Amino acid sequence: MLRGRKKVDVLQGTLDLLVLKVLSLGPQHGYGVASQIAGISGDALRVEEGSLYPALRRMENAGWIAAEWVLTANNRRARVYRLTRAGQRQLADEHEKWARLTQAVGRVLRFA
Amino acid sequence: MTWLRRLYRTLFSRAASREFDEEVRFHIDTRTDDHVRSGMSVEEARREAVRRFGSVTLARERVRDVEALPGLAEFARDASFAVRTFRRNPGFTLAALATLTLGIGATVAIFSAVYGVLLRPLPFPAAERLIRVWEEHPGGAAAAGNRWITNRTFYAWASTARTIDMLGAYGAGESVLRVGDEDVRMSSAQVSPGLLLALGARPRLGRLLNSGDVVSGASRVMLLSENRWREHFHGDPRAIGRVVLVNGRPTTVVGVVADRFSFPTADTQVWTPYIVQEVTTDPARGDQTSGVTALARIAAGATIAQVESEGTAIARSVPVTMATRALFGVGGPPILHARSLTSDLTATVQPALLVLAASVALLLLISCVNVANLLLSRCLAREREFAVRAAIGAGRARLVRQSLTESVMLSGAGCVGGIILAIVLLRVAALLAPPRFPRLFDIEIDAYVLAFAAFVSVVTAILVGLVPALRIAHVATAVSLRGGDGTTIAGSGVREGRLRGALLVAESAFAVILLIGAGLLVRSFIRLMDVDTGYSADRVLTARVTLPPGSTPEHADQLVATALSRLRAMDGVTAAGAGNLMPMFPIVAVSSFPNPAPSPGAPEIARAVTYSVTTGYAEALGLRLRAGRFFDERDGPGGIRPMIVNEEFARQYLPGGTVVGRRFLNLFRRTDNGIVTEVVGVVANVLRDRSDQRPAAEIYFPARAQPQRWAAGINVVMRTEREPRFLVQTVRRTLHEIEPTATIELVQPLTDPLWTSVAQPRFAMAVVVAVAASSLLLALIGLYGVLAYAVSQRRREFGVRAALGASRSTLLRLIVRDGLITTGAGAVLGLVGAAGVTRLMSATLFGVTPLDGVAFAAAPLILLATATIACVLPALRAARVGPAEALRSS
Repeated sequence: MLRGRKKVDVLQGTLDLLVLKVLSLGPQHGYGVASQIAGISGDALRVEEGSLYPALRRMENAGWIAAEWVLTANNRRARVYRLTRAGQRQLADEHEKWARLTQAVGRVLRFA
Repeated sequence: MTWLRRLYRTLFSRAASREFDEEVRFHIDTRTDDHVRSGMSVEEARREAVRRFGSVTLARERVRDVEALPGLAEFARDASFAVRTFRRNPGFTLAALATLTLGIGATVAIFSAVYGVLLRPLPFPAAERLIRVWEEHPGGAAAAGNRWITNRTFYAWASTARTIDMLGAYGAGESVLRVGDEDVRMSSAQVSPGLLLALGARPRLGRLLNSGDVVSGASRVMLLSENRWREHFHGDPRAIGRVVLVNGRPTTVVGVVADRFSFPTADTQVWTPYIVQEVTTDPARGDQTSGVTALARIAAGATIAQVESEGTAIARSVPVTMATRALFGVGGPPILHARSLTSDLTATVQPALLVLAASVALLLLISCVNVANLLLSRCLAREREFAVRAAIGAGRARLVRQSLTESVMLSGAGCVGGIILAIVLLRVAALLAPPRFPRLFDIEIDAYVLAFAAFVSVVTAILVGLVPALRIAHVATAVSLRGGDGTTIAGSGVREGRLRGALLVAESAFAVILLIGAGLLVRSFIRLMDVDTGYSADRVLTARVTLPPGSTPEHADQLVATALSRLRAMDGVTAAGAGNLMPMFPIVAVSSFPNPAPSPGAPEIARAVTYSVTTGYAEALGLRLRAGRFFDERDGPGGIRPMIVNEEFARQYLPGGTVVGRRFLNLFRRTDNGIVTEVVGVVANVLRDRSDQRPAAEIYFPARAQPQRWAAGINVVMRTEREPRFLVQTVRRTLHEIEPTATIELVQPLTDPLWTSVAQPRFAMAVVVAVAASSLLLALIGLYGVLAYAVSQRRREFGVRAALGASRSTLLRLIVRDGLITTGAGAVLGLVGAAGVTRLMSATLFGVTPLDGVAFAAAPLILLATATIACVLPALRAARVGPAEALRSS
């Protein structure tokens, strides 16, 4: 019962934000999400892949993203996620929260 | 939406995890490709991709946690664990399932009968407002079983009623229809024209009855049920307007009643108009009062009490005539009673159904106790398993939930099995049910019954699972990981024994109550069969002959004379006679006349069932002569009219002194003109019905002396030397030869209708005996299980006893005593309980008291005998334990 679900807060919140942001650029499969996060951040952020899929499922349950199976160019079946209307709202929300957090943290760092 | 998705993914977790696996495979394959593209070797690239992903198993579990509904997922895990444990113990599982199936199945079957017959509304519009109404003249003895209002009350009330908005009359009976060239007897009813409409009947073809059908001089018309129409006319619409012989009278079919509509009995197939006798002021028309079986509908807003008071006022406002007294006896001012139609229709079976319901409830309790006991013994065997699980971190709630899951699954499976069993039982019961069982067709497994079954199985799961669950909670606290010999924690065994002992005591007590109930029903059935009916039905063959309407009595006499002389000449017939009535035949002829020997305190009006019989009738039926003689060839027409009375008539109307030889001038004042009647014999009372506690006053006249002798039909009775059934065909053929136009039916041994008349108590007895036998079997299994377990737990103790010099018989006695003490305690409790409850079944008993000594003595003896059988095997096993057992290491 204690398997990781409890360690949600910051880490997971951040992961959600990143996933939502990547998906806002266009539908993507799980591997694509992971490699885009790594790619865009210049490998500074590396998603723990074991956590990525539970997070995707959770967001799916929450209705922020939806998934469907598609055939890729090299004829593989991939589960592709896209942002839903609720997901866009959530992204805006999280984005704003993140901005406020970094702003606040930045202010503290500047004055301390 | 989310929870729906999660529910789906929980229920189909295998599909969900396959999907995850495919997604992971895609992830790793794609990364491998990427690595290969950047120059790695294939193996290296794959290794790296797998490493990057980390533990797939862990990820899969986390995905499952995210997706699954928490409670359900746990239940699914517990359930699959339970299934595995059940599979490992097929014996236990089978025993528990069979027990629960039996208990739940019997309960559901009886519930659906109780619900269908007693509780479900009748299939009529506003059925809850339909009531039967009848008059009572307090103090007067009404003719048995007839609950009437007078036609005077009927008309007076129908025109002024405020508390009722419909008043109809009906009469149920049987009619003989000529189908092709065969005579078929079927249930029929006479109904007043408005009644069918008020009951929601619709014509499938033609019309229903209307007021034009009951005016004087209207032609005879009838309605057919849809079934009868299909059978008789093969669904031909031209049936309307066809003329059918009904009781020998040409009658026109004017309508077919749609669907399964049926009233007043479930098998009524023919309806003819009921004409309630009009009351005129014309003195020449005579008395004009008659009895009417009436049905009313309460007006909206009125109550039964208001109906009764309005009806009573009406009944008191109409004149009381001589015929009124004949109908209701001589009593005080009339009182009108009203009762709902449902309870009126089912009043005869209600007590028996309630007894059956109570007995299956006991059976269900016994099965619960038994399964609880089984689960308990298994949970003892699994004590170490639970202790280990507790030790490695399973919480107490977790263990209890696991145990409850098991009992829920057992009772769920038992519920499904029970419903199937109930369906089978109801099919069988429908075949065996007594004829004319009211509302039999309303018994079916429907949503209400299924809901009840679900409810019962939930209650069962709780009852069954609670004890072991509590027990497990206890184990979980007192974590015990003891030695490997399978013995339990010292002390817990004792407590266990007590708990299981208590369950056994309860089980035995319930079984004793059921056995006593069954015993009472068996005893009363025997009493019923032993009743002296006043005639001997063995080796009596009867036949009913109806001449076409319009035949003269002389023609009938001719027929009777020819028939009797030919029958008497037949091989194997020792006596033959004919009468207008006979025992076990539903028609009676009653005459009322001024008491021939008026005395203070004796009723003014004598009322007696009046037989017209030929010579040989009394001999063929085996009537018993108490004094005087039977009729013989001396008794011709003219001269003094001989009369035979039964003991009841003599007791009521001719008390004191000798009866034979008494003479009366103008016994029937209205029709006798100077005729002298002489009592020539007294016969024993003939009971119309075995359960009839009050014999009717009866008088017999020689048929030739009675002008109305064959108005009710001709009943031929003959005594045979051997089994009368062999003569059925010959007799039927002979009678048909003599008079081809006559309707000949009911050619059967007299024992047939007698047997049918006790079908209902027989049915109730059979069901309760079956239930009691099942409970006995369950008690046997339960006791055996407990003792066998106790013996296996106490092997070392027995070894020590054996080493200390206890003989085999001592050990044997030890176990048998244990078993019998438990059972005996239960038996005593059961006796006390039964003494409290059996009086509730007194309405279903006949000739025995609810505290009948024989039943109360036999039940515990039967239980103890069964218990002894259950003890034998375990006791023998205990006796075989040798002293060496004491040394066996643990």
